[in-house]
Amino acid sequence: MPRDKSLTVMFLEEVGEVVEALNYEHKNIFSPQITIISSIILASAASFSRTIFSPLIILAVSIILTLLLKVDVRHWVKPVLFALFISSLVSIPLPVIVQGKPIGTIGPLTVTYEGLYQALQLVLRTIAASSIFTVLVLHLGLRGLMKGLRNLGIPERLVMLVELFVKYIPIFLRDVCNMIVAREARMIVRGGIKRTWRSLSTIVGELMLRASQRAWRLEMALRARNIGVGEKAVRVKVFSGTWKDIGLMALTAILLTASLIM
Amino acid sequence: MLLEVRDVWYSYPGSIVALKGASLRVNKGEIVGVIGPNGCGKTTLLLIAAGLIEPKRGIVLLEGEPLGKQLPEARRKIGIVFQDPDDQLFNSTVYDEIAYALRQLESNGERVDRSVREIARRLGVVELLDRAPYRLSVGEKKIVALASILVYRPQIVLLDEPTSNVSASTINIIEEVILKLKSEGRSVVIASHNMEFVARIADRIYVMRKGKTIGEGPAREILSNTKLLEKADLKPPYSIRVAELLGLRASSVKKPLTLEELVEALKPLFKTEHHN
Repeated sequence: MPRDKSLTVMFLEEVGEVVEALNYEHKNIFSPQITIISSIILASAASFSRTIFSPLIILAVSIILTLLLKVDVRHWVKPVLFALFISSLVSIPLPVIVQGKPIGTIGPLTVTYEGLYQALQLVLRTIAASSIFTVLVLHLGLRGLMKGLRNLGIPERLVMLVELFVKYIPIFLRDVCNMIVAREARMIVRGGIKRTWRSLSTIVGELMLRASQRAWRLEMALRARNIGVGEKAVRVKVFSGTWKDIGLMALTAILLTASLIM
Repeated sequence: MLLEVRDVWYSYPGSIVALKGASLRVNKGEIVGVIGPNGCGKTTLLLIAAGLIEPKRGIVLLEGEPLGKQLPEARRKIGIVFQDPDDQLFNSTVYDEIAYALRQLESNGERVDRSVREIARRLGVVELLDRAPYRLSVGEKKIVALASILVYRPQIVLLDEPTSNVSASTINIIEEVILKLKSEGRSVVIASHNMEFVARIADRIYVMRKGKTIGEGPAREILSNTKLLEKADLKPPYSIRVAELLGLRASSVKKPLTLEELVEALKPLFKTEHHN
């Protein structure tokens, strides 16, 4: 019977798959630069809201956008669930450490209404921000993202850095998975989690060496083909002015205003 | 002489000496093979020849002038395809990958597009243009890496292990491209330990061992020199080994470098057998 993949390998593969999804071909409905601006504004609006209503609205909008823009739900849901998991973990102590109106007790600890509200708010803010950002970035894809950054006048070198960073995450994670599997394959004695982790910890050093080697070769590859003065600069063009873009800008403005008022 | 690498020395951090007096000369329209076992310094020699790393000792001359003084402009004349295409391909689509170098020279999008599609058609990768390079097979990646270099028409093309991890059909495409480059008067340097491949296309061969060039000469002369090859832990191409096993050495003037030559060398034997 084939051995199941370890939890670490499965997790890393999932992360790699989501980042890799950015490389798929995407037909952008909105102009890339407006999508980038909107995603930053909406994620910020969700993150810094003071109530639970505006994150709820932004979360609902992001779900509708996921369906409307035909973004692969599997790729959208994974980062959102990850954000939900981390924020839930962080917010666990809030109901018992925030002082306020008591609504119950867990052993010697008192659960307060304010604490529960803050925990819920933290979780909602996190998942709403990650949800809206994920859906818009997934819709853009890596190419759209780069085009948008260029059109916004971000220096070419910085855009290239972002592109390489995003592109190399799945390759890097695949390397990690291969190294983990190679080590697991040589664990022939059942030795518990301590022994497993001791063996897996040796990955860190090798990974750093591999990453530095890859970076060195990539730098050479870039130099080898740097045959001119650099890519011709593109004209900064933020607004393309289609009705769809105006619609996205209006939606962003409405949600931002709602967040500020509520 | 188009390119000359003269007595170069190079060591990587950690005192790993990769080259200890290696040399290479490339003439116009010539296919030069660099053979040697793993770790003998073939890749380092190519990186030095491309001006990507600077030798600790020795000199690289391009058209008689030191390469270092001609950089970065000289990069238009020398293209290099790395052994692992994952190290080379960094754009989000095959199209962008091929267009990368051209876009630095050409602001006319139509001309860039025409050149990209032309080279993609020539190498049979038109249907891959919208795909992400790192989602391709190794063979496809190698072809795309080659296309990304050929698109700006360098005078010298350096290929590091072009046949490793690829199928026979991809090897055929690479071989055709190399021969076409030669027919256009461009030079190609191939670092490889695929003796059959080198035997089929190389005009001249350099043999390397432990960072040194231990032999140089016409392909037939070098590949027939079993002693020299043994010194470099290499074996002659299969055609020569089969001919030697069959004792064809005495009956043929020259050792068969390719399968076709082996067949020709064997024909008289079969005829004699048939008549008997």
